[in-house]
Amino acid sequence: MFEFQLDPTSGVATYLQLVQQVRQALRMGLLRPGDQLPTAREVVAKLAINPNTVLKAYRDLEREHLVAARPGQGTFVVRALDGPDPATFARFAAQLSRWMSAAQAAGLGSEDIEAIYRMAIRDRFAEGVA
Amino acid sequence: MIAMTWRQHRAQLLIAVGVLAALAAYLLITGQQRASYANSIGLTACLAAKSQTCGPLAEAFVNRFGGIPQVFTLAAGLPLLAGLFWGAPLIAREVETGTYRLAWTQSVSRNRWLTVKLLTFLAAIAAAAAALALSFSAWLRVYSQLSAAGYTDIDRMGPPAFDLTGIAPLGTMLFAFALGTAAGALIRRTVPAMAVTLGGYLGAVLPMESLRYTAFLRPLHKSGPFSTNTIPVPPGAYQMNSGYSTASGRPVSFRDLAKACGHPQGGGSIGIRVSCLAQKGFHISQTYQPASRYWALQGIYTASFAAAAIILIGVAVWWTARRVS
Amino acid sequence: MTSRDDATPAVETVGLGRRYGRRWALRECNLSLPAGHVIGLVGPNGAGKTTLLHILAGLLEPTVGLARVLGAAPRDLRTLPRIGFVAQDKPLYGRFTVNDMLRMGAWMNPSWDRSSAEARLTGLDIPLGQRCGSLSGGQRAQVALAVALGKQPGLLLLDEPVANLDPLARRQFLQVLLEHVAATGMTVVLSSHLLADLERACDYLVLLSASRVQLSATTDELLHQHRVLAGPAEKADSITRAHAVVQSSVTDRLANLLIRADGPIHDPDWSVRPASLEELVLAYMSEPLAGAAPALTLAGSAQEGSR
Repeated sequence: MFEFQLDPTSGVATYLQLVQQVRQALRMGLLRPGDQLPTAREVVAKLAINPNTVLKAYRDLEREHLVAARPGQGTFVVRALDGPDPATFARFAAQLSRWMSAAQAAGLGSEDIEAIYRMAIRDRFAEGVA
Repeated sequence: MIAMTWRQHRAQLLIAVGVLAALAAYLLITGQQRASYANSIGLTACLAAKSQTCGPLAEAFVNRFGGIPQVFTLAAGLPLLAGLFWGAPLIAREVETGTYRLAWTQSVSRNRWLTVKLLTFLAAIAAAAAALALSFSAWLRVYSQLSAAGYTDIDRMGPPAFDLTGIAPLGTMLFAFALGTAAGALIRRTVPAMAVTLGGYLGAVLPMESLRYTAFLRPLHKSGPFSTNTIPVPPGAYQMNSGYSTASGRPVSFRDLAKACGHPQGGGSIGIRVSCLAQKGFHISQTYQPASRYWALQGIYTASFAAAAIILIGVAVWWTARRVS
Repeated sequence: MTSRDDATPAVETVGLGRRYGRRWALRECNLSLPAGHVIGLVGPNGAGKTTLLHILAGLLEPTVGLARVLGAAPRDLRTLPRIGFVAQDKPLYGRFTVNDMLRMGAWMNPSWDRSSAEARLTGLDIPLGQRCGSLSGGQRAQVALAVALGKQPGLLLLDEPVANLDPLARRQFLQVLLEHVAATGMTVVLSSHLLADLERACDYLVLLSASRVQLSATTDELLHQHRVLAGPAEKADSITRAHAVVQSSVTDRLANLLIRADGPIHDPDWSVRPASLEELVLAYMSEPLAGAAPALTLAGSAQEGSR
């Protein structure tokens, strides 16, 4: 059975972490269509988080048509992630690698690079910020 | 709730059973000793035949066993224990230890919680009082027979027997318990509540030891001239004050007697000739309560304490329901 | 999950206040807490959390105002079986065994689920034959919780349940509690003076400070509405005019503001980020509104403010 982890220090909202973990697992093939996700009760019993958080995460995933709740049975994965194909992945990975070499050559250390990366992610993908 | 009450208080109740059982056993055994001795020397038969000549047998009995041992006056304090160990901790302990926050947030209302506990202890008190009174009365049997025939004044009319027989133990036990419970409810700490219970109990019971003879029913008087040796107070009566009077009934003091019939003796003391007193018509009088009033006095005594107990229980119940943070 | 659309609030208080002598432990407390949530009651020590919980549990009478739990008065005979309460320091009868405590639950409650309580305690390796007086802090907490859950309450009140518990015991307590919530939809109100203890468990927050309610809203709404702004000090006024500022620290050049946003902030001179719950709570606690402005009260069936 798929198990969730929680990183309380990451600054990412709990329910988002759950959503991300499901997507990550789908991306890596650890979760396949037909697999059952743990029940809210099981997640809560392990992580000691609010049950609504789990339900919210599952609702989000349902909205993206990744999972479906079957009454009386549980929540099941219905399709694989619409991700970019491996070629696209490789192209962007290569681009990033080149950028990083340039950054290193300019004197940026791993912490600087990480700071730039985190700010960019936050500015682009953060939710609900005006 | 009854099962809960038993589980919570079973130690207290079982200890009381143990103590009472031991006490009852002691009383029954020593009482039986006295009874069989009285039988064996023929005293019982003599008294039953209403003979006038049982004196030597009575004396033999008293020489052998004496009267009521001093320690029995302590036994008269047993009802207080119901106040100290059943009453005072009942509410105070729950509040003190904080367990009232557990007990009063189950599905049982505060009133029902308290009522069941009170009724349980009331039943225990009734049983304990009955056991005490019955064992002590049994122990007292020979003395009661002697007293009825006028050979002794040890009987159930006087202390400590009055406190330990009949329904008196029920009254004082109820009172002590109620006092403890009310003190515990108001003070909310067990040890101070026990102290208040002790003080309040003694403050009420000690005066009653004499009030019950002087104030409940008007005492009777009998007087007789000095020509006879004793005042014919009926057998078994509880004798109170004795006094002196003239033939016409005017009270006089001992000094008056000394003035009338005294003559100096060697060494500065004054002797009084009884024949002179008899001649001058002086009388001795005795104040007393007759034995026939035993149950009436018991009734008034117990009713007074029971009434106080009811009021105190009411205070405890009311306070618990309304207050206690 | 059971329905959340229960119209009756789990807890409702109107003008609730409690005075001890001259001091008001709780004042002008107006709450409407929706059912089906895990509600955190936070505030500094002495803020009135225990007083409020004791009133809701029927242990204390208010001086003014009234309280309703699950639609009825706290000491109502209909209410008693439906409310569970675990007091601070988790009182248990010291000479009772754990098993005795479970029997007590059955004796004193009409509906009692012994098997779940027993299974749970056994699963945590708590011996049923052990006297409560010799249990560890974490074990006491679990036994007290088991006794409270055994009567299957619709509303569970907990006073500082995880204070003084080691991290493992705290985790286990919350696991048991929240699993029960997930299974039954029970409403929970739990208090703490440390938000960190409650943050992951609660989805609704009530902040009590200076004996008054400063906040009462779902965590979603709180996070959605509050922002931390950093920007030039001379522009602080424009923000202050447009939004409710909860806390501000302004030097001659830099302004840091925690605001309750009344619309988006487009000015690029300001860096905007969401406020964390902890920042929020600290800000409201250090600037108690002392009745001057309406406390923030947002929830499904809430009132418009404290007045």
